Amino acid sequence: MKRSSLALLALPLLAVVVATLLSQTQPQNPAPLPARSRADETLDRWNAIGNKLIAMAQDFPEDKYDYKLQKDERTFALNLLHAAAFEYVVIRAVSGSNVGPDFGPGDNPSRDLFKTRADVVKFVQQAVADGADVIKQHGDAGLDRTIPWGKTMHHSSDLWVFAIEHSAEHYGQLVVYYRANNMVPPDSRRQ
Amino acid sequence: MKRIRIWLPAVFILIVALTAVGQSTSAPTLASTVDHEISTIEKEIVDAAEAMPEDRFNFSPECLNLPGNSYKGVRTFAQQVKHVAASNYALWSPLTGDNFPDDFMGGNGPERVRTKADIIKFLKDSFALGHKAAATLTTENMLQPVGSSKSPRLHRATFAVAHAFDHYGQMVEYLRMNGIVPPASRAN
Repeated sequence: MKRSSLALLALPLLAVVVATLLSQTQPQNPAPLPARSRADETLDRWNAIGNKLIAMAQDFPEDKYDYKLQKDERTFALNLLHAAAFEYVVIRAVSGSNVGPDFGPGDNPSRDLFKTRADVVKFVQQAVADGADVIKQHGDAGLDRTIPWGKTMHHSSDLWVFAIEHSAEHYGQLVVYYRANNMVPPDSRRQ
Repeated sequence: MKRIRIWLPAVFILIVALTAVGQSTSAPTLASTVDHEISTIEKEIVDAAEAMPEDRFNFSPECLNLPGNSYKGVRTFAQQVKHVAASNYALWSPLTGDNFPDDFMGGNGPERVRTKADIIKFLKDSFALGHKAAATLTTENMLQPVGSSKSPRLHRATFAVAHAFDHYGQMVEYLRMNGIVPPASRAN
């Protein structure tokens, strides 16, 4: 009687252990990942293009920083400075603060203010980091805030995307500058 | 009767004016915001494509044989345009549920699309799909992954625009290498 009771207890236990072991060894459909927030998505996009520009700024030879492919164009350095300055224009509009270094009016800082490669790299890094901070601080709710931009009101989400796209355009130009100097852009070396 | 005849046009004008005011102050939706972004890059990139003469459409910086360059094997101007269009289809078709044609695989679009007119039509059609995709976006579905990808709908919709801007930047340089000022820069 005692032996049969033990068997009655042991059999279901054994079944549970076997089932558990089997479930661990067999592939399962992974649970869907939790939905990411809009702010997370925006931050990823912001950092992705920002880091591509930083990588170029750090990688391109300093003695070629004033190179340009055609006349009437920005030099390599001025492209980077313009992209970062425009990011600051958006960051300042969204945050309502004067964050970042003084680079004069507009979004085309003079090379006199950023003389060395280290100066340019630091400025681009600062712009990307400051923008990331504002996106994180404001979160999803901040993306729906409307702020004046030119003659109309815009959602701040719209302005972040605008800055990301603007940086992408200048990144594309610098890709061509790179290859004109017999160099492969850092991001293309990974492929 | 005479009074009605006087008032009818006034009431009509009032209705039109109120409608116009209502339209100008209506808050932008997620769909309209993304649609606006698509329209912006669509205009810039279509204008740039149209600005390149047909006999220069297969231009690549490689053919300039610039001393000490790394342009070997880079996309031609035509391939840049086709790549943008094919990528637009790849990124936006899961949002609309449209089929992604087999011959669009490979990143540069179908081989059969060769003339300037055909390439620009391919480009314009891809942006038409973009507008359709933007119209599907709502605040409720924007963070949902779509298709087999982990990317949320909003990411796919806007990444296509940023991707197009990257290649637009390259097209700008190709135009300038051919002595052509990009249309978007001409007003400046």
